[in-house]
Order: sequence, then structure tokens, then C-alpha cells
Amino acid sequence: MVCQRCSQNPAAIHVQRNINGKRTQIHLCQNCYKDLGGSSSSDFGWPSLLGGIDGIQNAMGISEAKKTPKCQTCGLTYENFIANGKFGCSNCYGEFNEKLEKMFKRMHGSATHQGRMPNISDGEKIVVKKALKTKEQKIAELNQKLAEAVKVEDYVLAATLRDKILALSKRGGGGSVK
Amino acid sequence: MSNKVTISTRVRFARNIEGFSFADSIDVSRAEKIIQAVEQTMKKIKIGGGFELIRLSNLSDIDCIALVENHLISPKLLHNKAIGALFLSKDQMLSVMVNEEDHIRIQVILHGQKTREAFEKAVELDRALEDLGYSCNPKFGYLTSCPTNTGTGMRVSIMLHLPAIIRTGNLQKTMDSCSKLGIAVRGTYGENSEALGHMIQISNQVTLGHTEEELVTTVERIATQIVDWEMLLRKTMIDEDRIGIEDEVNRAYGVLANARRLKTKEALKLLSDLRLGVDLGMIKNISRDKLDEIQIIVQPATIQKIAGRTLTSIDRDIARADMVRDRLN
Repeated sequence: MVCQRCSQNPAAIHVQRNINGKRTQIHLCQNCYKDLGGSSSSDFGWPSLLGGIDGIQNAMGISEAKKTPKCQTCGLTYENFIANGKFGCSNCYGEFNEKLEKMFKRMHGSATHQGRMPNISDGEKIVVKKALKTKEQKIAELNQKLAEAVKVEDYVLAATLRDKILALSKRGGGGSVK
Repeated sequence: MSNKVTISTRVRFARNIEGFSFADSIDVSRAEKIIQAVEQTMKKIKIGGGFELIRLSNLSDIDCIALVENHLISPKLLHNKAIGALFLSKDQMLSVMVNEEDHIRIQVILHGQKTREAFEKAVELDRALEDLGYSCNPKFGYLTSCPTNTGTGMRVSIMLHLPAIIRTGNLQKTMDSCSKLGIAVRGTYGENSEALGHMIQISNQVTLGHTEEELVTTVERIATQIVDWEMLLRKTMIDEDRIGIEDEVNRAYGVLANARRLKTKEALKLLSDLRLGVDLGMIKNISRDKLDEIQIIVQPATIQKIAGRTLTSIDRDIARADMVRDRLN
């Protein structure tokens, strides 16, 4: 079996994933595995490896791993958003939320607003920040559990934790304060 | 801070009204509702001496372009001419563009380097408009059409006249340094435009993850550093070849005060030389206000607006030279 990424070297690493109860497998050579953030030890960067594998699966047309999100309000797809660089409406932020964090960090060096908000007193701003911090702390805890699950190669638990993290991240976006 | 290098300061906020598609994908009737909603609110605002509503669809193309040349609207609003509107204060320092890329673009332009003052005026206008119900959420802040504006939705721009930095081939170096510090460098009319007449704009690149005050302070600090560098290079230029600079300045003055035909780029280049001469005290009888006025009127659409009719390219060059001669003699 050859590596599904480079289609040249023999596949030496076989990664199994469980996404919403559906098992998928990807076969990689040592080089591609390392390129995607894997290492010879078991404590590799799981999130970056998942990102890399998603990229390969998308490129290969294996779309069950990641369907392109679409805004339910204005109909804009994430692909079109990337192509044009413009959101269609404010609800796109909620619909594409899980992908935006990474993009904003790359673009602005941060994905969390620190500035003014309308009609909110200074006291209320502090409450909002506290609420955000609590959510971020929850995600950090889940990430730690995820790393541990990966370390002991419990990929089913890892996938469940990953879904929980995504769901939690998604809850932060969209909607209006007003 | 008062200096001879900073021409103007601009602060703009990008805002959208919840419940409407962003302006690039909105239909005409919904866009009209936004104009009407903004108009109702603007009527109550007294700052800046009150506001006049200008619908772009009621203006000729020349008049629309003249608004761009005067920095009162962005080139982007021209693309949305059918649904675009401008609320302009009597003193022309405050404006609100409607249905540009975002539903609302609050803009304050002040002469000189007055970032804090411009910011405070923009906040005042923003507070007055926010009852319209802005799209925002606690995580991402103000939600804008383009992700490069998300968060504060704020762009602080300072227009600088940098003849010494550009003549000595240091513009690229300035741009590179700015880029590393999160500051964008653009030409006179925003993104992708040329540094006409040695004028460039610097502005904050990022809008998310910092408070407005932090962004204002950063742009102000970098502008001040560039101004200091420009002044140092001007001094070096004078020390090295005072007669050479005086010659260029006076030649520019001579051509501007006597030419019978002037092209836009030529006029802007000569105005830059003349402005340098005024700054360095080589030319005494021309004020900076006069130079600012000429800087605007030499633009192609503004000339035609003043003339009150469409002019061919050659007729424009003649009219431009007439107007500049008139103001310098």
C-alpha cells in the first residue's frame, strides 16, 4: 500500500479516525506523517495531524470527514467565503465559527475581541470576559484530556472529546448581543 | 502633535445592522431601508453642525469621483452607487457612508496628526448610531463584511508627506518596518493606490485582539517615528545640497505659477516639491492651507466639478494650470 499523501513511498503509518461514529482510515509514509506533525514518539501534535489529514481527505474527495459549511441565513458556502474573502451576513460568523478562530489568529494574531461593545457598561464587559475565560478554560481542559487519550491510543475517546471541543467552540460565535 | 509632515488623520468604524445581509449581497429595497433608518437617526445628531444626505444615485459620475478625490467617500462606494449614500457634516470633518462594503462606515478626517481627537469624535458618532442595532458578538466584536475589519472595525489612518524618505529610496524600508509592527502602508487613495505626490497613508493592519486605544496609540507612535525620520532625512538633504533643493523647489514654484497646461501627476509631483520648500522655509508667501486646497482641486473630477462640465484630457490640463496659477499669483 502506498502513502495516500505523496503516492510514492510505502505507507508505514495507518491512522484510524472515528467521526460521528463512522470509521475512516488514512495510510501515510514516515515522511508525510512527520510533515503533518506526527513524530516517532506517541506524543505527537494530534490537532495539527488531524488538520493535515483533513486536508488530504478533502483533496482526495473524501468529504465525510469535513463537509463544507453553508450559512443557513444567506446561503454563502465556506468555500465561497474563502474565494471572495467576504462574509454574506452576520450569521456566517456563527456558521463558520469553528474555522474562523484559526483564520483570525493568522490574520490578526488573535481571535478574541478586546475592544468596545455597544450599549454595554464597563461592569458588563468584565462579566462577558469572565464568561469567555471560563469557556476557554473548559476547552483547555478537554484538549488536555484529548492529548492523554491519544497518548494511550484511545481514538474513540479522542474523537468524542474532539467533537465536544468543536461544539463548545461553536457556541461562542454568531448572533447579536442586542 | 503638530508637525509639517502629517497632512491628515482619519478614523473609521465599520458597522453593520443586525437582520440585514451585508451590503455586497443586499437587494435594493433592503438597502433603501438601511438608508432610511440611518437618516432617521442622523437627523437627531447635532455634532459637526448637522448632516446632509447625499444619495450617490442622484449625482453625476464626475461628482461621485470628486467625492473620492476629496477623500469623503471610498472608491468602493462607487461600486455600490445604486444603493450608496453619504451623510456629510456641515464642517465636512464627519461622514457616514451607507451601503459601502458594510452598512455603515463612520469616518472622521481632521487636518494634522490628531488621532485621539478623531477617535473621540468617531466614538461620539458611533454611540449615536448604535441604537440601530449593530451586528456584534462578545467573541468577535463588531461583525464586518471583510474579516480584515472584524473586531473593532476600526482603521486609524495618518496621511504623511514623505519627500525625503521617498527621494532617498527609503520607502520600501519604511514599509517593511511598518509591516513587522502590524502597520499597513498604502498610497493616497487607499489599497493598491500609488504614493502620488509623495503622500502615503499608514494604518493599523489588525482590528481584532486589541482595544481601540491600543491601536490608536500604535499608529500614532509609528507615525511619529516616521515623521522624525523624514525630518532627519530632510535635514541631511539640506546639509548635503541646499542649493540643489532650493533649485528644485523654486523650479516647481515657477512651473506651477506659470504653466499653461498641467497633468495631474506632474502637478502633484511639483506640489510636493513646493510643499517641501514651504516646510523648509524656502518659500514664505504660501500657506499650508493653500497647498492643501490646490492638492484637492488639481484632481481630474474635481476640476470638472468646478468647471461645471465634462472636459477632455487636454482641456482639463489647461483648466488645471489656470486654477493653480490663479491660486499662486
